[in-house]
Amino acid sequence: MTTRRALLGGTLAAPFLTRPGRAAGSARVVVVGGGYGGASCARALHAADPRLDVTLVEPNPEYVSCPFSNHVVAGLRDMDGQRFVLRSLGGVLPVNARALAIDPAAREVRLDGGALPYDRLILSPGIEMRFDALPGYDAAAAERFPHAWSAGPQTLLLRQQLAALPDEGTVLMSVPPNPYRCPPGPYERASLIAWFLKTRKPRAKLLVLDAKDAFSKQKLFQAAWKDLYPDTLEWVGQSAGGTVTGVDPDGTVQTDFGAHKADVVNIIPPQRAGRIASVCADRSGWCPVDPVTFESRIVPGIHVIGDAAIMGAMPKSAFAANAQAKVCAAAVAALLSDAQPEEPRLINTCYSLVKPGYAISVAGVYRPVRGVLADIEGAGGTSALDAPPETRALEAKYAEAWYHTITQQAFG
Amino acid sequence: MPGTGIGVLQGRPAEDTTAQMEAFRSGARPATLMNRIARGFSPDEVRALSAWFATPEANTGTGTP
Repeated sequence: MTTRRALLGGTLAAPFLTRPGRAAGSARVVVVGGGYGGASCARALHAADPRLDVTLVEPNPEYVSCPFSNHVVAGLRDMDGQRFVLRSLGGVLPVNARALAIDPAAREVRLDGGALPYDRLILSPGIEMRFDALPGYDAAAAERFPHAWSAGPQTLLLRQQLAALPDEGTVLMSVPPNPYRCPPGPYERASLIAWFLKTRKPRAKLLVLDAKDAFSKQKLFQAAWKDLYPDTLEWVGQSAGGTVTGVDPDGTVQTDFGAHKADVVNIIPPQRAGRIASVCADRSGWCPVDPVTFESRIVPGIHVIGDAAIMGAMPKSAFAANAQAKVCAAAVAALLSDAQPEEPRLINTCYSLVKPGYAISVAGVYRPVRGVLADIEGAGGTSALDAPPETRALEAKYAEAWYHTITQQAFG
Repeated sequence: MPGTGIGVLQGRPAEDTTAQMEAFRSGARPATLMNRIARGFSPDEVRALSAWFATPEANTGTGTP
């Protein structure tokens, strides 16, 4: 520890970290990660108390959005609509650097080119793929069998592979056990790949191997699949042998019940909190946090929001990350002025497109109960199973409106 | 937001937001989603959030409730 602190001390004077405008004595808040959580949180911190000295650290000059990237996979949108250049975030200028390590005792974040001291640190690093979880599925294998669960080149790789699929080819998707980023996401993707196949390669098939028997919006998805894709999409749950146990170099996918060959293999592997947050992670690989302040249960002074955090019933989604960012910002601003954080109410909504002009949703409202965020009974739930096509079309329109609004709010 | 059918909360008079939330909660106003959301808030909480959205701070789109 002494060595590391000495190293940090020696690297403090990087020029880009010099901020002469900072008022003497103002509290320093460092936010790591420029996605839906981090960008929203930096803005909300500045808005909550303009005297705060807020720094956002993000190595990439632009953010590539996972929400709506399934549309890109299926050829329904371009990548351009997924890219957001990180400019001034409501008065906070992003620092273009990578956070390498945290020294909680010294309250410093070490960067590739300096170090940043903090009074409160907010981590919003998203996920990293667990390339140690499925035998045969590592980072190199992902270049041939894309996960496309982090938007960017992986999204385009899967899209290109689908476009090149033989007319009578087979696509295989593997879905991990809970928890993972975007619970309904794999089923939206399955729906949109099925749409692509049905309209472009009607003799091709999609096989979905799932490590679970129950999933988000299951009744709605399965009713839609039966109606729209009965000859295209086959879903195999855990009890029918859906759990993938490994991937061979030739793309053969192994399960306890047998092996499957396919022309395009999309493996969504198990995940954990982004690496910088590992200091706050428990044995599950995720970061348990307080449901009022999002302060880590493991390291005081560090808050974790978004996909990397676990705090009860709230799912890992961009909507949730944005809501948590605002609650966390308010709590941190309160804590830094010795005030009591307010007990929050949080909302989540996830839309899934089943085909163009047909979307379904799930929503939840959450409050802190005995140390976790719990569903408020009677609220939330899914779209009605018997809703007319007009409702599905409206929800597809609202999904677009939501995407426009949240990206404007986070990155605009 | 304009042209999408989703109403803007920021800047809306507090009485109006409260009335709409109660109508969503009771089912008097049909909805795809807001009925499910409104049921998560007590009358007191609805009054509090309606008052917040009527303030200038809410209009920045970045404020914290």
